[in-house]
Order: sequence, then structure tokens, then C-alpha cells
Amino acid sequence: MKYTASIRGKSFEIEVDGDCITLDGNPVDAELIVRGGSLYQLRVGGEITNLSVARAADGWEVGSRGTFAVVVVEDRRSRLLRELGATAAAISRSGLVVAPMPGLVLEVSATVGKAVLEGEGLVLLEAMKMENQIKSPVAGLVEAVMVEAGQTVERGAHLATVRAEG
Amino acid sequence: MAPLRRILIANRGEIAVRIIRTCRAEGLEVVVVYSEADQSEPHVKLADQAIPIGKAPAAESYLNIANIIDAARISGADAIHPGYGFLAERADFAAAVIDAGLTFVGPSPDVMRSMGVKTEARKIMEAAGVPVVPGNSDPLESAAEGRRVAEAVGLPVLLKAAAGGGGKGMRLVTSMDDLESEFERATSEAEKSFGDGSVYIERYIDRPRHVEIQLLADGRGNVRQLGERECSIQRRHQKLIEEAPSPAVDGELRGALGRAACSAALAVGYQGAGTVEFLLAPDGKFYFLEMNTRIQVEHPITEMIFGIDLVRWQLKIASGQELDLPEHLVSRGHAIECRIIAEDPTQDFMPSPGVIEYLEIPTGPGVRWDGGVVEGCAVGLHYDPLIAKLVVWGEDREQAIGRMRVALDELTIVGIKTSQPFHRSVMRDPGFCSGSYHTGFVAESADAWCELSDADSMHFALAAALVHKQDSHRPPSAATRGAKQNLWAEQARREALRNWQK
Repeated sequence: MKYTASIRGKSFEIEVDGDCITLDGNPVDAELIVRGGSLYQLRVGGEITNLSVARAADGWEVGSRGTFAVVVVEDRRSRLLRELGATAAAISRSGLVVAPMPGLVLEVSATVGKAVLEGEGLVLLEAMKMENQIKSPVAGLVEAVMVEAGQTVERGAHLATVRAEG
Repeated sequence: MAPLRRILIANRGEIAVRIIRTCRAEGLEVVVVYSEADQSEPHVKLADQAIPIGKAPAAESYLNIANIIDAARISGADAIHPGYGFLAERADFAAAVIDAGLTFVGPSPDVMRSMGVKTEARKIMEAAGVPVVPGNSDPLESAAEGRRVAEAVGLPVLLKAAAGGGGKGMRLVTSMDDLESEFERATSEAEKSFGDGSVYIERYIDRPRHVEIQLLADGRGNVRQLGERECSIQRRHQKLIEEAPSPAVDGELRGALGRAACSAALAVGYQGAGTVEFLLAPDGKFYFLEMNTRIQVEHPITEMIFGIDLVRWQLKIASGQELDLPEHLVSRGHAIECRIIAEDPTQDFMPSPGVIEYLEIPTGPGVRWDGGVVEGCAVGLHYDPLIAKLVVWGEDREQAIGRMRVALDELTIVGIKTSQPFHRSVMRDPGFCSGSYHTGFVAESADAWCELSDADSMHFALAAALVHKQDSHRPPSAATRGAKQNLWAEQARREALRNWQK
């Protein structure tokens, strides 16, 4: 599997195939040892680093010796979703939120009149056997909700509209 | 005076744990008090008796004098050690302890009262021949009087609250045109913070160092000075790193500072452990700043270089023993302390409450950890963010810095953000390593502690990609459940922070 890991403006192309790992095309002798909870040990060559890795709102928060940074990891699928999402975001400049892919609506957390933050989940959509939070592109008030749980939707289906604040 | 048998510690966190250890080593029984937020804190677990004294907010527990005195009565304690912070410098607390027939581990309420009022303290020091910053020693009657004093002293000047501390009610005046408006502001700030709007004027000293002398006195004419501590690495008047001895103090200056501090202690009939703080100007002149009538946070660095347990001597003096230490105490080597606080130095030292999920404490030769937390402890917003002090000793300054670097690299805290990256960065800062720094160090630093090394970037990216891969193999519901929990935790944290800011 190929991943793009972005950290503070830097991007690394990382490919993991079984035990073989390449970083920006170069093979690296690396191994991740699970220590329990959010603790890990990363071995690169002979060097071992103790790290904590925890899920953050927009990626993984990695820490070592008190220094923390958020790493956004994208595989082919999530990059595709993001690109589709970008199209969806363009559509929803009007506040309209659309389904970036076909799927089954699992949960609707948006209710009419609810104040939502930018990036807050509105609808939980299952697609490709994965759950995807469809997030609000803007901070504002939910104006309308067009779907309900259990419903299947096509790509581009209207899910909700959010009126931007201010 | 009868020897002490059972000590009540009116404090929490690392200092309570620190005092418990000495009490136990001295064969004394320990009683602690705790708030509703602290029932499973280390100090409660380590004590012989623990008595609840109220709700989480300090005003309802650790600052509640009546409840603490009751706890002492119930537990049969014969003395109260106040630690630092909370009630440690409240003369009314010391008086209440004495009125209840108990021993207060500290100086008399009268001494605390006079040292608590800055203008009073200035007068006493002037009379004792201790140099004070040029200025006035009576609260200003008016802005017009302030103008006269400022003209006599010379600009720039500082307006300071007589009852103050921690930078509150303090205003810098660089032009006579601003004096009136700054006087009004300082007065109202002092009124709001301390309930006393009195302000006075001191000449502003640019780029000073903050140096303090540790004292022990038995109130019977025996005073010993235990050298200086350098405390110039501060942020908004809060110390972050201290070292002893100071790289800026030579034998001659040390002697002069020590003599000044001892005359200060003798002038007020001081009893117990105390600290006289001085401002050290770039020209080598020093001025009395204030006297702290309690054990200081940074006392361990003095203990390390003198091989003395200061809390033990506090207890000895409180039980009426004579201070029979040698007249001239000799220090050995160099000690540094880093205050590990639950604040995020990369976010302008924003409070970072949370639960300590994992804690790995550094050890090794010359390494000392004075901690108040263990794994599973919740660090809240009710109390001071200091969770531990990492202290090292070395034969010389260079070795001490080296040992501190290693210890800071070994330290692992997961669950909350701490000042650790700040300390790691300072221990490699050329200015700090050369020893030439002043109280503006943190403000003038280019936030080097926010930087991420290339190696760290690469390691972080690799680790995140590998965890991401493992995670995506888990069933989707489990993954989203984890995410939801984190959102709740994040929301709770935001709420707590919002309240804290109020």
C-alpha cells in the first residue's frame, strides 16, 4: 500500500509491502513495535525511537520526548475521497453538502437548526466497507437535511445544507 | 518546645510528596489533606492519614484555613507545614495555626506580614543596610507625587503594587507623559488583584539577572546562607529553569550577597528556611527584590550542591532545635532544575490538562525527580501546572548540562503536553550554555523549542503511516468509535479551557 504522509508542510511517500518499506522510493530497514496503548517503538536501522501515536481530529498526533506534531496520512482511497471532496466543497460553497461517493447512510448527526463547526461530521456514510464522516465545509447552522439513516445514496446526492455564519 | 511527632502538610502535588519523604525519614508521622479532585493523588497514598477538606477549587479546600485547622485537630497533628503557594505566605494562616496551639513550620506571622508588604520590606532592608532599587518606600499618594519620585529616580521607572507579586499591578513608565495614566492602571490592577491599590516606584533595571540567596535561621541569632540560585530563565515572572551556583556570581559577589541576605534575616528575627531575592544589574550592582518566607520550588538545587536536606532543617528549627551547622558551608559541583509543567510551549504555554497515560521517569547518577504525579493521574486546571521538577547534579556546569540533556531525552510523558521540548531546546542553546543570559531570555528566544528536526519529521511520518496501515485493517466500527471518544475528550478539554480563561 502506498501512503502520502504530510507533516508541517513536508510530504513523504511511503510504501509498505509486507515487511518491505520504502521512503520516497528508497528502501528503509524500519519496523514498528507496539508497546501498548498509544506507545510504539520505531526502529530505523539500528536506531530506536520511543513514540506515541494517537488519533487526532485531522490525522495522527505523533510525539517523542515531549515534541508533538500532526501527521496526515493518505492512501490512494482517501486521496481520491479528498479530491472528490474538493469537488463537493466547490459545489457546497452555497452550503450544499453532497455525497462524495455512493453509499449507505449509517447515521445522521445533523439536525435542522443545529450549529456546526467547520469540519464537524454531518452524515456517516458507509462506502467501500468503510465508514466515512461527511463533514460540514463551513461553520454555520444546518438549514436542511435531505437523507435519513438506512437510505442508500448515489454519488452527488444532496445530503444537507449548512448556512455559513456571518 | 516538645519535639514534633505528627506533621500535617497543608499542600498537594510534588511539594507534599517531597515533605512526606523527609518526615518519614525523620521518623515523623504524616497527615495530609486533600480536595475532592485529589483523592487518588500520590500525596494521599503516601501519607499515614489523609483527611478530605473540601471541593476541588482551592478556595474551598487548600485555602480553607478553618477546615485545615480542623483536620489537624481531628488527626492529632502537632505541627503544620504549609509547603509553598496556597497558604504558605499568609500571615493570618500562620496566626491561626499558632492560636490553635500548633506549631507553624515557618517564620512568625509578624515577619510574614512585614515581608508581604513590599514597601514595608523595602524600609526594613534599607534600615539593615541592604541595597534596594532606587525609588520610594511609601505608597504614592497621587500621580503628582509619582512624578516627583520618577524625576528624582530617573526614567524609566516601574510602578509596583505594594501588596503585589507575579507581575500584577506592575507597569513600566518610559515617558513622563504616560506616568499619570499608568499610575491609574497600576492602582486599579493592584486593587483588583490584591484588594489594595497602593503602588510605589522603583527605577527600572534593564536586562537584570534574578539571583536569590537561600537562608536558614533559628530565630536565636544563628543564620546560615547556602549560596545563590540563578533564576533568570523565566516567562512572565514565572521561573522555568534554575541553576546553582550562578554563572554570573563570583566568590566576592557571593560573599556580598550572602552578607546582605543574612543581615536582612537578622533584622527581622527570621526563623526557618527563607530566600532573599535580588536583582543583579549588568554593571554588577545588586538590589533587594523581596523575601520569600517559605521553602522555594527550586530548593532542591541548593540541596544538591550543599548535601543538605532543607525540609529537615525546617522541621528541626520548628521543633526548637539550634541551627548547629558549620559557620561556613561549602558547596560542591553544579545543579540545574527544570520545572516540568503541564503547558504546551509550542502554543505559547497554553495549559494542557489531561490524564497521564504513560510516564517514564529518568534515573541515573546525579538525577533527581521530585514528582507529584503517577500514571493515571488527571492534571486539571484547578491547581498549579507544575507536575514535577527534574534536577541534576554534576561535578561542574558542563557535566550538569550534559546530564540534564540525557535525562530530558529519557523522560517520556504521554497524555498531556509539557514544557519538556522547551527544556531540551534551552539545554542546547548557546546563550544558556555560555552562561550569559538574563530575565529576557525566553521572550527574546526565537521559539526554538517549536522546531521539528528532519530526523523527527521522517520518524513521525513513518510511524504514522505504519500505525495508519494497522488501523485501517481493523473493523471500521472500532476505528470510528475511537475517533468519537477522542472528539468527546477534545470537547471536554475545550470546555475546561474556556472556563479556565474566565
